[in-house]
Amino acid sequence: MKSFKAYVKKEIIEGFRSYRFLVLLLTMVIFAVLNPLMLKLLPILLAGQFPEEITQLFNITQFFAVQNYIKDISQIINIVVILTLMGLLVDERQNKTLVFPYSKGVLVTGIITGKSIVYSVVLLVCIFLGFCINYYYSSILFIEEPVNIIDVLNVACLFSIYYIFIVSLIICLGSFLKKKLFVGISSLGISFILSGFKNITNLRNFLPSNLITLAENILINSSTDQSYTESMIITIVAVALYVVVLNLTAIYRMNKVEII
Amino acid sequence: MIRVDNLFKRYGSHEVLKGISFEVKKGTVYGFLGQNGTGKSTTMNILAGLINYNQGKVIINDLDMKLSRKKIIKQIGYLPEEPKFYPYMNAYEYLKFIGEISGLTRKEIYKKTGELLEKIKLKKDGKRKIGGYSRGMKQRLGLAAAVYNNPSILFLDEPSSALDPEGRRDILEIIQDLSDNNITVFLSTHILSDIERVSDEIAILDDGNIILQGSLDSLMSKYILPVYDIELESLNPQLESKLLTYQWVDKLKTDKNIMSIYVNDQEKAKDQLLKVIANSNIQVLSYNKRKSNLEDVFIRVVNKNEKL
Ligand SMILES: Nc1ncnc2c1ncn2[C@@H]1O[C@H](COP(=O)(O)OP(=O)(O)OP(=O)(O)O)[C@@H](O)[C@H]1O
Ligand SMILES: [Mg+2]
Repeated sequence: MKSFKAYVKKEIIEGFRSYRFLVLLLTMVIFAVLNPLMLKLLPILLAGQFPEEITQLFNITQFFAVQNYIKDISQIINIVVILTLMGLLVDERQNKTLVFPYSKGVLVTGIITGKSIVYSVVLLVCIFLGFCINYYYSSILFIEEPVNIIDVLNVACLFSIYYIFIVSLIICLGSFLKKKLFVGISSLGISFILSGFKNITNLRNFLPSNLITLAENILINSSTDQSYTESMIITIVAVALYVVVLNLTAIYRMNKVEII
Repeated sequence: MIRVDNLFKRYGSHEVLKGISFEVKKGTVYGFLGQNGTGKSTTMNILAGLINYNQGKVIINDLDMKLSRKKIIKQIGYLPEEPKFYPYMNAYEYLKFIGEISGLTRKEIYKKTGELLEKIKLKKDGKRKIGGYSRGMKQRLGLAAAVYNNPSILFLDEPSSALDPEGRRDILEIIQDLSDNNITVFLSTHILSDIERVSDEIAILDDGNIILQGSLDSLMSKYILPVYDIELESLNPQLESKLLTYQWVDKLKTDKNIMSIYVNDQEKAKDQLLKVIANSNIQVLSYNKRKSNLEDVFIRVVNKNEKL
């Protein structure tokens, strides 16, 4: 518990001073604001160049704006999160900063869970903030087809779970690989490959990327849809299991690996 | 207490330690010498419980490293060769972090951090980011981190290599202080005069084997052949030939009116040399025993690879 507390504090200090928190927060906030703004400005920008009949076809509603944000952001956060966090564990191994903690008998469980939890919480906060801001702006800019805030919060929830998985994946890979570049490439690779499998029906529910697919469909499907709810529960349970397994693997590995 | 028995360590096909054995008694300062790349740091990393070994036994404070590594780690402190910290923290924050990991209470941490920063003379810079510290400052901070958990055994891997003369003196004083408090210090350094000043016992590691070990005093008297430089009013061939008849005289060189006598038995020489000269009725202007040091032993033993 002492190691865990020490590492939570350390990760918080590091997150602020290395600007990791800031990068994650700014990415979410900027896109949440810019996305609906661009949609609003688009017809105005195009107005001079196309006949009026065409620009009037873009009748953008809040539903469309939020849905557009969900689509755009899922790729962007994936890349930003992986690039910002790829050094999370591997940097410590490369820079040998674990030597003193290990020589004081630090509990590896504390290090791994500390890192996982801090960044999971930070991403959760950033994602919820991003979606709330997006909801608010799009509701101001587009009056038609209003979206239910509960649905948006559900989307944020599914996104957060997905990125908790990505954090655990980065940490686990970091306990095996020696360079953060490799961790970054393989995390990106894995997340793309997983999303490539989403058309295989039998497998779909067990893939973390299904969370994103589910999120994209929330506004379309009514949440009372039986098969939708079922799919969601299965995926969430599966991902929770992956998160636990990834963290346990990282702990096991970091207990074995030579850190000097 | 440290006991190492027939310790082997291999990196791939490269055998770094080829069955070393030694024992360090409680409260002694043990100097560990050897050329670059002979395995000093490797040995220390093993003793500090940070890396594995292929064969042999490591016993620290009556605990076996293979069985009770966690328990051993709590009782020792380690200053690695190149201590690495979180560069965005300052010295206060880092030592607090170390204190938290070591399981001290908040009050203890507060007190200890202040005390240690004072001791290593970093109080003034304690609020600056460690990333901006010089190598010597980092080494001082590393020493504070190493002793934070009040270890009964301290491993210091070249603690003074980056320090200025004053810093080296401070470290030697701290080591002396620790040793006076019955803390065992296991020390490696290239600065032989440092080892000479603080060590009680030394070991020399070469090519994966310990080729020499013993108490500093016994090694010095055993392996250092003293030289006496005697300035005479005039040289006297008779005296020279007479001296050469003695068993304890190895060699004799003359330069102007100075006669240098290489002896192989310090005790006999001390006893008889002056008497012999006095009996020859030649006036002695000065009499000087050349100061030899550990460096001579080290170079003789390691470089010339003399079998001892
Ligand atoms: N992780 C490693 N992988 C492979 N070889 C290693 C590793 N660590 C050390 N070695 C090798 O082990 C040998 C001993 O290294 P070590 O660092 O223990 O030497 P040292 O006596 O501390 O040298 P120095 O005086 O330069 O500090 C060297 O030949 C080194 O190349
Ligand atoms: Mg070394």
